[in-house]
Amino acid sequence: MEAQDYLPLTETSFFILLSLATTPKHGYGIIKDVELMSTGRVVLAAGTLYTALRRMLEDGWIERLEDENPNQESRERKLYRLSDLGRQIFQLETKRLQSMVHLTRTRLNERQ
Amino acid sequence: MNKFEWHIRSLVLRFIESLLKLYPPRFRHEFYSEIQEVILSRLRDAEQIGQWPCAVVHEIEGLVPSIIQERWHDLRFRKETMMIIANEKPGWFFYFRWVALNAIAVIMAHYITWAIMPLVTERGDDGLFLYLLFPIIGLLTGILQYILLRRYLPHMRWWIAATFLGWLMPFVIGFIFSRVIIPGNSTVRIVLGMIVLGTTVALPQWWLLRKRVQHAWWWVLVFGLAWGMVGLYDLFSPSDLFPVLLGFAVVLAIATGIACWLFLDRFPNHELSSRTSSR
Repeated sequence: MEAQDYLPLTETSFFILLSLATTPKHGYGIIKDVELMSTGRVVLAAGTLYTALRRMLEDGWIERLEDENPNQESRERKLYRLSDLGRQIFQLETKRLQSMVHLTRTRLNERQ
Repeated sequence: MNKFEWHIRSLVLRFIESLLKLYPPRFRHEFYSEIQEVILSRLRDAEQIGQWPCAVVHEIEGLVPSIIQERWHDLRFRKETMMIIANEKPGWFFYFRWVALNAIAVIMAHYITWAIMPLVTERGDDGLFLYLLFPIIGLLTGILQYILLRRYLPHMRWWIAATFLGWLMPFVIGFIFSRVIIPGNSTVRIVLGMIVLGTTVALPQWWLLRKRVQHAWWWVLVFGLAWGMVGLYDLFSPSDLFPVLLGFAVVLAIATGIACWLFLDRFPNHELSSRTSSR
């Protein structure tokens, strides 16, 4: 499937990709980051997150890595990072959202 | 934290733990320890800001649809892999064993039926004999064919039940056929009747095969033809049941062996097997 075929993204998928766009993160890192970015509006439950991560891994949007600097507490911590396909999808979705915002602004300005 | 609170929390954690076990094995194998750690970290953080109960509810709310989604995904994944035929083709020994053991199974069923007949009735009733013989043939050939086929066709555990069910079909179809469709005792009726019976015997097995192999309808075709041939043979043979059964056993074993050769060797499911190897 082409990157275009996966659009539009759900809010959860978008936030996960956005969270991974800068640095690889582990599961709880993604949850905290998404909560922070959305100012507490989107709080991912672990089940929701891992179902989304499983799907993204299967579709090749993200990759799974071993954490080279694991915490002493954490037994098995895996990091997730964007793959090339995932980055492409994220960029296309961002462009799509930008054009929608642009369109909305233009239309509203016309009315005013 | 008092003792009561501690008990409640350990109960809740155990409940979450048991919920996690409801995920399908494939998902658990990949993510169990990670997801468990994320939940524990989240609850630990929530406790510090006094939001432990809210966090628990939120996590459980997230787990339930996620488990359902993963179960559904697993079911679909299994269906897809069920369609995949193993790349390995059977050797000549498989076909030799198939024909020999299938024929022996029918003969064995005949002797088993004779052995258990006196336990069921004191009269030597031919009609009742068939009522016992067919299910026993179904059971024996089902087990045997499952053992032989499972190496080449994965996920065939319903095969035994399907074979057993198939061999019960003649009682239903045979009754309808003889009373309603073509009553009488002509050659055409016997041969046609046998073809219809053979076809119905093969239908439950075909139902399983159709998602695993291409051209699964061969199975139905060979069954119909084999039974039809036995119908012809029956016309010219003595009325004794055993020679008919012997001919029937050999013809059916060879015919199903040919069907196996057609879909396992001659026309294997290339499209599906290439999909497997690319996974």
